[in-house]
This record gives sequence, C-alpha cells and structure tokens, in this order.
Amino acid sequence: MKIVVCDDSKAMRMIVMRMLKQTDYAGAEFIQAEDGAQGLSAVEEHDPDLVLCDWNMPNKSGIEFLEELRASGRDTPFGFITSETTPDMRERAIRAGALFTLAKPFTADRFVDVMSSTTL
Amino acid sequence: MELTDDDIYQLVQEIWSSFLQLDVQPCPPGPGGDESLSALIHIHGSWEGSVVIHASNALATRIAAAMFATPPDDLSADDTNDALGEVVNMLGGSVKSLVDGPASLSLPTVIGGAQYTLSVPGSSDLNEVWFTTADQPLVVRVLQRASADVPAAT
Repeated sequence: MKIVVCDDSKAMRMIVMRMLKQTDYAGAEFIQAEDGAQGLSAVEEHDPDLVLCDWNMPNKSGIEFLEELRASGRDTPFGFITSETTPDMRERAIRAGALFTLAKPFTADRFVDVMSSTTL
Repeated sequence: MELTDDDIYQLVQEIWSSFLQLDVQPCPPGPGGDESLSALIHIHGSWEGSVVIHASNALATRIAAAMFATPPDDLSADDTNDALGEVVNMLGGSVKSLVDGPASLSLPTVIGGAQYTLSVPGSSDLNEVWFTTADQPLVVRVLQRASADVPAAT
C-alpha cells in the first residue's frame, strides 16, 4: 500500500505519518509532497492507494489538486487534513470527491477513528 | 468579531494537548526575551485580521522538537520556522472558524531576531494573551483590521 502525504509543513507531514503508524496503515509506504503540484506528480508516479492532503498550500492548493485529479479521470481515495474547516469548504471537498475532512488540530484517537472508518 | 481571552486559551490548549503534549497556562504579561520568533497569518473576508504568536527561540525549538518527535539538536532553523508556522496556521484556522461569513486564510509567515516589533498597518489589537509553557512565555495576539473595503455586517 502507498499513501501520499501532502502538506507544505514538514512538521505536519511528520505528525500525520507518525499517527498513520498507529493505524491499520502502519505498513504502508509513505510518499511526501509539499504542495498540490508535487502531489499530482506523486500520484502519477506512484499510483497510491490513498492521498492525505492539506488544503491551504502554495503553488497548488489541496482542492485544486483534488479537482485536477478527478478531472484527469483518477478516482484515488482522497482525504483532507486541514485547518480550513468551515461547512462550505467541507461541502466543496466532499462534492469534489473527498472521502473525509479532518480538522487540525486532532488527537491521535480522532485520527485513528477517521482512518479506521475509511474503506479503501 | 467577539473573541475573549478564554476563547484563545481554549484554542491554544487544544493545539498544545493534541500535538505538543505540553502544559500551557495563562499568565500575566512579562518582559520579552532576547532572540525570538514570531509567526503570523492573515484572515481575509467578512472579517479582516491577523493572528500572531510570539515565542523565544528556546520555546520555538521545544515546539518543533515535539512536532517532529526529534531531539532539539537535530532540528534546523527551517524545521523550527516550519513548526511555528504550522502552529499559527492551526490557530488561524481555529479563529477563522469563529468568523461569521466567508473568509480565507493566508499562508503563514515567520520572522525572527532580537528587539524587533511586529505591526500590521491599519490593524489594532483585539486580544493579547500571555501564556507560560515549557517554562517559557508565549504571547498570542489577534489583530483586527479596520478595512474600508469590507462591507458592514447586515
């Protein structure tokens, strides 16, 4: 299994990967991307099973990443981990094809719950 | 926007307990340190303002060490800036969630040095809250921008 972890903050990528190791995805290969443009390239190169992505990033935002991914015909499972948590943004994310949005900050228990309910 | 000091404490405490595993408590204002870092982020939209956190270099390094789960000596200056920027990003997102109406969040900015002042022209302090964490002071400021191009709430 491969998971793309896309966030412009290296600290947040470390936290997400550390928390993933407490879930059923502990054995996955993690591929890091620093923005949506790198995320798109990572998906094309690695064909991951899941993308976990921030919303607010330079170069290409998370929602632009998701919308371009879907426009290209890829249905790679995609979840947002973001401090952008308004109902409008959640609705836009789900409408664009996201599986879930997880608001930062979050506890390890909350992260495990969300990942456990994510069926790939 | 109504934002109390206790609201800010709750938002800070949530970040500290979720990602840093550090105790954080409000405290009276005190003297500033020498070398320090400030991270700020702007909110644009139906409310205009900025969120700023100010920490000593020692505290910023401690925060980064907790987020990276790495000994402080293994961290670069970029790592420390990244961690403090992410903290203000989360805090800004939390403040933005309290804004009525549409708003967007900028990318964070981190500056550092000794004996500097940080101001956002056209803005005034809505809150300034001091905390103590890891035996170091932490200051959170919320600045409200008086913007002529933002329509009044109806």
